[in-house]
Amino acid sequence: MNTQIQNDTIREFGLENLPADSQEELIAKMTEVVLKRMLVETLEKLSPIDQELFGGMLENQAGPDEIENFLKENIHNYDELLRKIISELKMEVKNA
Amino acid sequence: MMSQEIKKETLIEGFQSSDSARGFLDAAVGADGEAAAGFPQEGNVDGGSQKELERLEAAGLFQKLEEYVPEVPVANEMIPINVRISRELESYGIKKYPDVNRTVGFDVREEKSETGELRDRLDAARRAYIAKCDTGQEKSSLLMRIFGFGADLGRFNAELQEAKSNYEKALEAYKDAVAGSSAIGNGYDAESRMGFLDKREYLDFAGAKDDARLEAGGWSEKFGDKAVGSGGNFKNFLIKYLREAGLYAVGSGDGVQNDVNHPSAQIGSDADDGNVGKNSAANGSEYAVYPGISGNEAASATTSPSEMPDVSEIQVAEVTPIEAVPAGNEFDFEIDMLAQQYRESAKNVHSPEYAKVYNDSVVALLGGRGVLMGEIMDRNAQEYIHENTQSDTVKLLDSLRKSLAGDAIGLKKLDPRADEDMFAWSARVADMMRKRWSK
Repeated sequence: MNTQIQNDTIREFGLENLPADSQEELIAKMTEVVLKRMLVETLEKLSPIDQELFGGMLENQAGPDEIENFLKENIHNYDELLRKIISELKMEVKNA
Repeated sequence: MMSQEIKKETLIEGFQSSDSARGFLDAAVGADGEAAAGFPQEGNVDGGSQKELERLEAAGLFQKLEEYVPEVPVANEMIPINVRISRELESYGIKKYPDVNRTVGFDVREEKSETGELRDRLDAARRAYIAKCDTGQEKSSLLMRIFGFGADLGRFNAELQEAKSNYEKALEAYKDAVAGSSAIGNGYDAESRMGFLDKREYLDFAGAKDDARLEAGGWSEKFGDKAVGSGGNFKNFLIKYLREAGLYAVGSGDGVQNDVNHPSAQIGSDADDGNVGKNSAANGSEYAVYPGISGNEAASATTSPSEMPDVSEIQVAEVTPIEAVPAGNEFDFEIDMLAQQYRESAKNVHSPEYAKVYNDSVVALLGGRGVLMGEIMDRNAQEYIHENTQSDTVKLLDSLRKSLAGDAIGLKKLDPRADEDMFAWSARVADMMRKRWSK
């Protein structure tokens, strides 16, 4: 069962008239795109050295908290950046 | 050595069995570890080792699986077939699965037979178009900008237009076919079906662009899987943002709960399966730099109109070159060209060309999606304020206000005199004009 916010998202995108699996497909696709965009925007904002450090953290399976702290220390307004990526993509999809 | 051919029924049976993924692989490779016809004749699948799986994938195993997937009856299944297959494969330790991006969510079999070929063409045309745009980025190098574009630009423009045209035609053909088909979304109104296709195509295109960026940065192999693949801790830390936005682990009618570790939360995601940078739209193409365009910066650069003085009352005391925003060459080449056209026309705001170029730009850019309109406007605003004085900018703004029913779009509320607000101002102008023209 979807949460309220998920239902809100589906309505926001105008997907409420679609079958459930199609809703899921589009949301899954959007999740995929959001993740990719977050990754590429993150990498583009890291210096080459920090990219190496980030890669090393991933290689060594650093925990989510450690990764989060590292990125927030090295990317200005990182939290804001992530939220902006989501909100922009949602707007784009909504208007598509 | 096994010599039997791979039987469709065997494959299906494999999937429907309690140990379906194993059954499938056994069917493909042979329980005795030897490959069946059509697959490599060496090695075996030992516990789904990644090396073996990659070998099988290279041999076309998953393509063959995909061919058979549509034959699996799904009518009475609450869980979509792509979800079930993915779960099965993942339960077996296989991170790769057939191209679920190509599923439609209604009946894969029917789409495959009726419109699948057209969708394949669309995928190819999209790849070609994006690749051509990337090539354009290379051609828009600094030297090209300084010394002009010359004959090479003309040739490139022709190729770009052809790629774009092919893409648009392929998209139109596919949508027409779907509109006339009962295969996809039968029982649902045409508007819903087209809306679904539009949004899916938009996401496919956006995903392919981001794939290209990852490829161009050389990051796909190094970061993709580890960062946002299954279990990637970069992704894990992002989950809270996704959930907050109502995006992650959207359960469907199959009763899937909102469990971030549930396979359904990962369906349809190249990012999740470690294929970042390698999705269907990006495969097989050479991507040059395709840097990101922030898109809707204009939309985010808002200021309350009540905070702005009336521009008609502004007296420009001095003429100051504005260096706030470098033009840069980090934008998509096509957008850059269109923005340049637009800017030239905007200098003569009373010219009929003004509206025409703008509208042509919008239409040309993939059906006038808002983000691209925003990109054009952002670029225009940035370059304009980079290359023009405040005085000229104010004159242009005032002229625009008069010629474009400025009262309606609120231009008179802006104050371009404040240096620190120049970018916000230009972005806002872009946003307002976009909204104005989109009406």
